Amino acid sequence: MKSAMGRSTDRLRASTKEWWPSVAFLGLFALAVEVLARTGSVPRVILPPVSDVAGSISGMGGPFFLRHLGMTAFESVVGFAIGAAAGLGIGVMMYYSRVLERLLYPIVVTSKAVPVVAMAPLLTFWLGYDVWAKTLMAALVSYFPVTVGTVSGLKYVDEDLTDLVRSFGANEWVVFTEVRLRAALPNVFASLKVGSVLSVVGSVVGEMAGSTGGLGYLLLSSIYYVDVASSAAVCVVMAGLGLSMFASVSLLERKIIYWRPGADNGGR
Amino acid sequence: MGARIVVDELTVRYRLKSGDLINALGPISLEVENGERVALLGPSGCGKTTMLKVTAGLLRPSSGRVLMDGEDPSLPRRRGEIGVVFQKPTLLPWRSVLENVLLPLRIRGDVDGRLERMAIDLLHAIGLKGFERSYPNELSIGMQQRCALARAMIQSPKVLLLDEPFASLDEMNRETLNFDLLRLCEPNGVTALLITHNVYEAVLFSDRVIVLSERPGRKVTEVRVDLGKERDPRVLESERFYEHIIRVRKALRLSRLEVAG
Repeated sequence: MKSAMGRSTDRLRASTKEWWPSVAFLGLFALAVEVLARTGSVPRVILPPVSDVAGSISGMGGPFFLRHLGMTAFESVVGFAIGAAAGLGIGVMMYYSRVLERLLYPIVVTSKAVPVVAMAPLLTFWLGYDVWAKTLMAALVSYFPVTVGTVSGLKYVDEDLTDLVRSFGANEWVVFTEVRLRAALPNVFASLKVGSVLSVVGSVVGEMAGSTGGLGYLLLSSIYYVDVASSAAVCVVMAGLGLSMFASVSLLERKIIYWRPGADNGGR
Repeated sequence: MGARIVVDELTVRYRLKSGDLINALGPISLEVENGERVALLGPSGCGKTTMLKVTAGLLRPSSGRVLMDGEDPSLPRRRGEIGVVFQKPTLLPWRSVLENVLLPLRIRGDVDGRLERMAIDLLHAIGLKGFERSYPNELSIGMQQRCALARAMIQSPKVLLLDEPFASLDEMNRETLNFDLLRLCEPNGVTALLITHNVYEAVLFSDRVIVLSERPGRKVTEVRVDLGKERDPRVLESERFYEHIIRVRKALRLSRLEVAG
């Protein structure tokens, strides 16, 4: 039996092996941008050197920047939590009730058909400039994939499993909690991962439509001052926020879907 | 002790997406005596699995009825008196081997230390010692099917329904599991219904083989298997076993001719 530390080392080794081509590609890309910008092949005002962008990021440790980052992170996390809960709830209702499915399905699809950029000014107009309009934006963009993932996850459960549990005398609630919900989890988590990244997009678009703070606001300000390096730095931080949300959901997935090959089932 | 099963003029019809009605099974009537082991032998698609689902109380018949000791099967099913083994192991991947075996008891809310000990003994008896805490994806298909068998037996069911349980296994595993199954059935006097399209398996397991026609499955004929209740691997090398195989094969051939005629 391997120790927990041994398993962690193995996992780190496997991750390194998996990710090194992407890291190497990004490194080469950054090097190319640096060379193009430093040699003047592309004007610095259009393409800032990567070192300048890195300098801007390292200068973002102050309370001013952290306030903006904290605002976007709050909107994204809370918006995603609301969107995920709504998506799960609507998905379950749509699966179990044909009436609700017929009622909600067109609304769900229509809500997604309206571009998020078009919705942002309206929501700001209705809800004001504070964080709640942006939180709602994040919730609105993240609930759709979770709804779709939940419905398809619940629909395509192996019916032999549900028959089996019924053959033990289980009622519908037990069939749902013991089989259907758990079997749907891989689909649900795939959609949660999409929703987690989209929630950052929702909050940033909301901030760009009208706000007194947040990374979207910061991005617009730096563009206004033609500070391309800072703009790029804010974009990198946004990507980092999205990736952190994605990684957190992935970590949760490994813990909850522990039975899947390659999942973290050590100690269970 | 087992239970008596009565199938009376049973038919099952499905509606296809095109709107057409399709006769999947019957009309079929048969009886299985208390403690008897019966094999239903028929070609693929003749409605064998449908028959098993109706017998387990998992599917409503279109007409006719199934009774278990005079009751609708949904009642003994709720009391945990029916054990079912499907063609696939159908283990819950999020539960360990031991938890899968204990699942029927957990659902009925009566797991205690004694029953847990019994589940562990059952797993040891069926060759899964040391795998109690493993997850299904860590087991071979043969081991998963052993676990499914242990799960069906944990409630000491009165009726055991087996839907081609070893169809996906290799020859060696299949033979071993057939004898494990016989060993588990014998002391309890369980009434068993085996769905299969394998003549050898049908003869080895049962007291009586019922031959079904092609879809919609109807009883064509039956062959009584007179090999005694207790059977060990030596039975496979006996002349009597092969005599029964020949009789069942003849019955199958005749049934096809009858249907074609």
